Amino acid sequence: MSTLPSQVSSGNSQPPPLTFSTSLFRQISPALYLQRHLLHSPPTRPNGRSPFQCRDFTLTTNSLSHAHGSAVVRAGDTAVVCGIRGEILTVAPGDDPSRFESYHSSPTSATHACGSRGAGGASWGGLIVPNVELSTGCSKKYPLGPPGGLAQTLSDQLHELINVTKLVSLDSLRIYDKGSDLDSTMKIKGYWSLYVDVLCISLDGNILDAAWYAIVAALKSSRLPLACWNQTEERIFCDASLNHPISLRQSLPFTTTFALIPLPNPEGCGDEAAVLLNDPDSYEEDEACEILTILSTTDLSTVQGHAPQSPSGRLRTRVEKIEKKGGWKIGISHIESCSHLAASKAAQYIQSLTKEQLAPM
Amino acid sequence: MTSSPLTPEISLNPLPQSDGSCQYTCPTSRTTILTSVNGPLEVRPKDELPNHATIEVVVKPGIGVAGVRETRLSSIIHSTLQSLILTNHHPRTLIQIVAQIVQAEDHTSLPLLLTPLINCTILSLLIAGIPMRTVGWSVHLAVLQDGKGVKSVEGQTFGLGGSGGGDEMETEESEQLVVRNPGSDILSRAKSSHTLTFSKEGEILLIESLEYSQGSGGESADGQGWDISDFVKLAEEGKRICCEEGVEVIRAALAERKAF
Repeated sequence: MSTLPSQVSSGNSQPPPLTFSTSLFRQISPALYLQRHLLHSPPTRPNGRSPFQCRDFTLTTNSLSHAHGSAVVRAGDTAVVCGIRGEILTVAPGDDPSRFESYHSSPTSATHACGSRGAGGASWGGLIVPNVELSTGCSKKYPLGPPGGLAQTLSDQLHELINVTKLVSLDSLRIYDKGSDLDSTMKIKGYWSLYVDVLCISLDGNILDAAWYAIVAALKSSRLPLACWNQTEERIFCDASLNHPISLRQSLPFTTTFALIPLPNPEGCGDEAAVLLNDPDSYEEDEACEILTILSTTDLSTVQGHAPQSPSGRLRTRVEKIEKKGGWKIGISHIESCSHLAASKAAQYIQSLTKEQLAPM
Repeated sequence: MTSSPLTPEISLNPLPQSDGSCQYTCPTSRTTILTSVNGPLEVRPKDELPNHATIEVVVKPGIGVAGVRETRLSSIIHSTLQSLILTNHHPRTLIQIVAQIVQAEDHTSLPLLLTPLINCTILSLLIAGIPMRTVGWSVHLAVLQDGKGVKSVEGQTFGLGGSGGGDEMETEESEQLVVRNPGSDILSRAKSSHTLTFSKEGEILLIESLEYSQGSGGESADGQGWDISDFVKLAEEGKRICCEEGVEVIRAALAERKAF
């Protein structure tokens, strides 16, 4: 009954223009809101960045006193803490140490690891165990409960990254019997097993890059106790001081993630336009149809400002992993251009790592 | 077509109760996958989407109960299918895909399982009559440094031309060998592994490329990886396999079915 007068009045006068405040528009139509921003020239994202600009990040190492190594990484509103804890894995007499060092077996699922764990040992992959936890309240999308799909997928991805990049030198994880005159494999009395725990405090997109950067920084800053085999006691003893570093690769690999946002084509013909965004936040990730992750290394000498090795002046890049999920719009040319961007971002990461005073605790 | 040693063994609708099902055996690694597709079904209110169909992918392992690896596999397949299935044709419904790993050489290896899982899922979606934008085909390529002592089926291997870029340091890498759908013994010697999925039109649907660094880690793993121009060549080869041979395999498999 009450609607009748309003209908009459709207019929007589001009309908009120449909306007929203910016914050309301952002919430009720995220896809359109993002597209309007990106159709501007020059295209600017709602967060004020240009499409290929990544967020500034801060790194703090060794802020946790109980862990052997730790790092806090913050990129925009994504904040990640990574802690490294070393535990000693004793090689029982008669165990073959070579079994601990097999490269291509990478059991991750607890049930599937029975092949290697049932035999009482761990493979190469088993020596470094990453786990990701999305803390309660880090994002609206992940409520309290057992680890969801994202946390599980991330844990597996990080495990795979540690394995395939062979980030940690296996030799720095071995514990030797210094006194004996046996050959080198017999002298191995134990291993350091590293528990790499990543806790996401705040999640605003692109957690893989932040988590991987935190892991690399934490491993680089870790100091384990000096452990050696005591022949008389027949046990492994640790020195109280922490002065055994974990040796990593020289050229550290870093991941860079891009998200592809579809744009409507005004003419309605031909291929639909799309724009690639570097380092997407969660608002952009929700609207993205495609995610591209590139793991690449950059030659350290070129990063430190020496003469570039390749004549073209580009950074010499090696790609170690490409992952592209969902969608169909990213072509080979996109991947090529993104790999160059990933190289420059990797160089940025390396510079910040060397800048950060990796002071021993 | 069926006589070729590289044609997968496909049996359509082995499960008569489901809307569409398929059993797929990889010709070389003998990985066997059984998938069943049901849909459109009633969706749980929690998962309901107002203008799209919900896609649910469950990967069941061959041994034990599902773990982290299976969750990751199903999330990869889910994101690939999201762009293939026309989900807006059946809003507020559920399309449920269950994939069972029947046989595999290595039940933990992601690259060995992913290609058969995707191919089998796409075939069973076609049988179930789920509307799709296009069809895709997946191929797994392993790059080996040298082909010594590699036991392979005829036509399974091909060489990759000299690595481009004109970099003199890389000329010794020109003798790389690429193996299609390798088994676990070949994969364990591989330098890198690439799972590539292309649609019929040649669009890239999925890339899972990994470098397997050699050595005992640390500094010995430095300088590994591949140049992006090498990857482009490999992707072209993968595109050819998927768009020509893959589509032909789907066509031949569906042609044997007289009526849907």
